[in-house]
Amino acid sequence: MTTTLYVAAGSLVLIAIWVVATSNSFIRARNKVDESWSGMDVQLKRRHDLVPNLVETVKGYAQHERETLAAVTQARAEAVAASDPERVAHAEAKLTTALGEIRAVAEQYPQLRASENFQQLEAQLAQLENEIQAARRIYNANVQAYNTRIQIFPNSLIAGRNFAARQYFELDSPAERAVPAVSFS
Amino acid sequence: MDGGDVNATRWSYFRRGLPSRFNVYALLLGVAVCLAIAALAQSPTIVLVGPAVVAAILVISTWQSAGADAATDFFRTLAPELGLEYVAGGALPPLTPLLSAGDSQELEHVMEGPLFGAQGGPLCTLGHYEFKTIQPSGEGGQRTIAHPFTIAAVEIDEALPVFHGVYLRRRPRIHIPGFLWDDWLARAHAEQVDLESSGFEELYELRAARDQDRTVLHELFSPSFIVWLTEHPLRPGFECKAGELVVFIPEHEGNAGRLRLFHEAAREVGRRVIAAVDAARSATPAA
Repeated sequence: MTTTLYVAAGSLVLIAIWVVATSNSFIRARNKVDESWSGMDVQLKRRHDLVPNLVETVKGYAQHERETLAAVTQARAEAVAASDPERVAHAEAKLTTALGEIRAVAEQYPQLRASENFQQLEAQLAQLENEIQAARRIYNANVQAYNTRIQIFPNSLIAGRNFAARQYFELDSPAERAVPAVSFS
Repeated sequence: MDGGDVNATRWSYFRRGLPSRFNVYALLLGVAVCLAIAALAQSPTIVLVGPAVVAAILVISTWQSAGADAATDFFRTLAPELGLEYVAGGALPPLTPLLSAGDSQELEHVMEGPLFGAQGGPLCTLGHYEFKTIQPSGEGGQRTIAHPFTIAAVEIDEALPVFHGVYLRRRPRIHIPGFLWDDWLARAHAEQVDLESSGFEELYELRAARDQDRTVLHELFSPSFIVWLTEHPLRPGFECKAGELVVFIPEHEGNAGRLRLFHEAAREVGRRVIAAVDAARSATPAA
């Protein structure tokens, strides 16, 4: 009888240790997801801050492109206002498309393309886009690690409702999703 | 040199070196000495074994010397391809924890030159580095343990006020407490730094000096740098302290392709450190 009690008590202690250790590992993984989201937010904000300068510079050379410039300003405002990953992804994709249109506009204005200010902004923007891309990969890798950790059995028993799966940050950009057209003619 | 390695010409040096005049005379002399000793000791065993031992010693020493010649050849040919100059041996100032680790340090197969080749840049010293620790062994004896690395040391004086101590290295697969092995970072009194990537944290251990500006550190470890480090096949580590950047990988690398990759990695780390230094200096108002 005493042996049975010891075995039962020992098993309970082991289970308690496992529950605590697993919960802590969930918290660590979730914190990583939050940290990487903040990291991406920093990069996105930097891009948002760059947009007004870019619009002003382009306006100086291409006053007739009001519609394109207004679209960029509108897309930026939406991106700044977005908060959850899904909306942020949608708004950022829209902003990326709008910025692509500005680049297309710039092609038609040689003076604008030659301007040192524009070249500097374009280089900064390209660098920021690289950083955003890298930050997105880090965030998605963290989300994958966290989701796997909470969804595998028997971890899922502890995760319950306290640890909900997180969404990936997927850019819904038509430019990125577009399948390149291949012609053999 | 594409698929070449440090032993590529060893066999040809060995074949040339074996029938050298020195070896022939040494063999004749060795055999004569063995016969003389055998005659004095009246031992037929020495007659049989002695010349064989002399021949074996000569073969081994020729093989060793062929290895050294082949390695010199290899690095002499590789150096210009990397935009560097082969200078054989040298020493580095013990400015970072790795360069001052252990009881003694050695640097060989040294190649020097500007980091970015024809485009210039700070002085880069690439070579095989080794620090040795002497540990007591049974019955009052001592044993020496060698820790080999391939390193690229870059002098970036401007980094001195910006990076007070940044240490990045591969995380060991099994966690072993520092006092059980020759942990060269143990004396650096650096704090562990967590970054946002769990993949990066599984592979690397990042530490920084207590007085290191954390904003500058996070500017250096931008998302793209974290991804680059995580995905790099060599998983290079680096230390930056006192104006010295040391990029390193464990073991003495002797493959041309991997050395080129390592040199490229050192350039990339150097480029990023220089950019972070420039950004920090431009952010700080002039006194």
